Amino acid sequence: MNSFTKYKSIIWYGLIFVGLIGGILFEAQYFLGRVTTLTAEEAALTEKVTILRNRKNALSALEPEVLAQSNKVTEVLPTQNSSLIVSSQVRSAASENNVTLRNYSSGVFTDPTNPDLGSLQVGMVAEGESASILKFLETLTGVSPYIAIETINMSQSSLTTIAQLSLRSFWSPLPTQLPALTEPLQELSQEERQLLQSLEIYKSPVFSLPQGQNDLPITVNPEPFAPVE
Amino acid sequence: MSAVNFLPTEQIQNKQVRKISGKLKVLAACFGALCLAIAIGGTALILVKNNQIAALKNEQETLRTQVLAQESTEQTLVLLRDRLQKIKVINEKFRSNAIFLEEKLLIDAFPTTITLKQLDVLDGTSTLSLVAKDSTALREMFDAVKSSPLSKSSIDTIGFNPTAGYQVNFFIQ
Repeated sequence: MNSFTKYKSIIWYGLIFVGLIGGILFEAQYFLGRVTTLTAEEAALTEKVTILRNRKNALSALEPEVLAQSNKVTEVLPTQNSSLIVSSQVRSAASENNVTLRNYSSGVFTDPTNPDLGSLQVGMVAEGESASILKFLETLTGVSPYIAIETINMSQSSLTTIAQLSLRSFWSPLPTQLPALTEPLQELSQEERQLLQSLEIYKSPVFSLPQGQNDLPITVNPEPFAPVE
Repeated sequence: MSAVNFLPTEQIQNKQVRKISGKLKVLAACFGALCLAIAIGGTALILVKNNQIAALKNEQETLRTQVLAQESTEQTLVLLRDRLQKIKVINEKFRSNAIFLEEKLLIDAFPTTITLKQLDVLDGTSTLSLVAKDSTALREMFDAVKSSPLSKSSIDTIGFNPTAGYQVNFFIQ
């Protein structure tokens, strides 16, 4: 009897055993790879679905009255230089509070650190009673477009109060694109809602510029309060 | 009665060989079962994962359609946020409005014995010059400033003139 015959069963079972180990390794590698890929795909999809769900919730949570505020915010921070509206608001506030204005000047100011935010610098001298000037300034802080006080130099003499004022009004172009569907979109935060609510009291201008005003040349009138000739 | 083996003695397997062969048989059976279990488990896991992925893809598609249907709302939200963020930046940069409004509230609350002499506002800081006719008015002025929201206010200078009264310069930031 030769060795093969003698060890035939060991050889057979050995081969089957080795084959099974190989099979298990192959299976393990295959399934592990496949499951890893599928898990990664599932995780990516779950993230996308979560983003979309949050986006949908954020959009559904927006009340119609909040949406209606979009005109107000654009009025407070216009999309383009609104020097005419600012002049109108200043003039209206001055006449409302019996304040005389002179040396009115305005010029565009560009902040290189924030090119998206253009601003109009307005300078003037206000004359009147000190209470009237204070009320005039208070009125200006509550009008749209938003007017920020830059400097006030107000001094009272025996007859009248004179205030040298420098104000700033702003504009900014609208965003040009919506965030991608894969980007998260949060609903308005409490702070943003409060700010939005605070803008409600801003007094609208008595007139608004027609659409297409960009086509019109903007000229700076050094004396807009001067009598019309 | 003893068993009789008619095979030739050279064909009778060695006892040791039989033992190893038996062990290998058991191991092969075990590994065969394990191999089958991995195949069944792995296939089941893949099927489950595929189902979950299919469900997620369906949900993604449904949500995408719903979100796209609300595009105008999204535009409004993006516009609102853009404007509000910029207004916030302006408010943070130009703090003089807030200071001025607080000062105005304070001045409005003064009795007639306290008058405003000078008011300067620059870069979110302010100097306020007030005149109090007498010491009672001066005390009222200090009380009013102390209880006003102008928490970061300090007295810069204080002077007295027999005709005008007390002149106090406040520095506010």
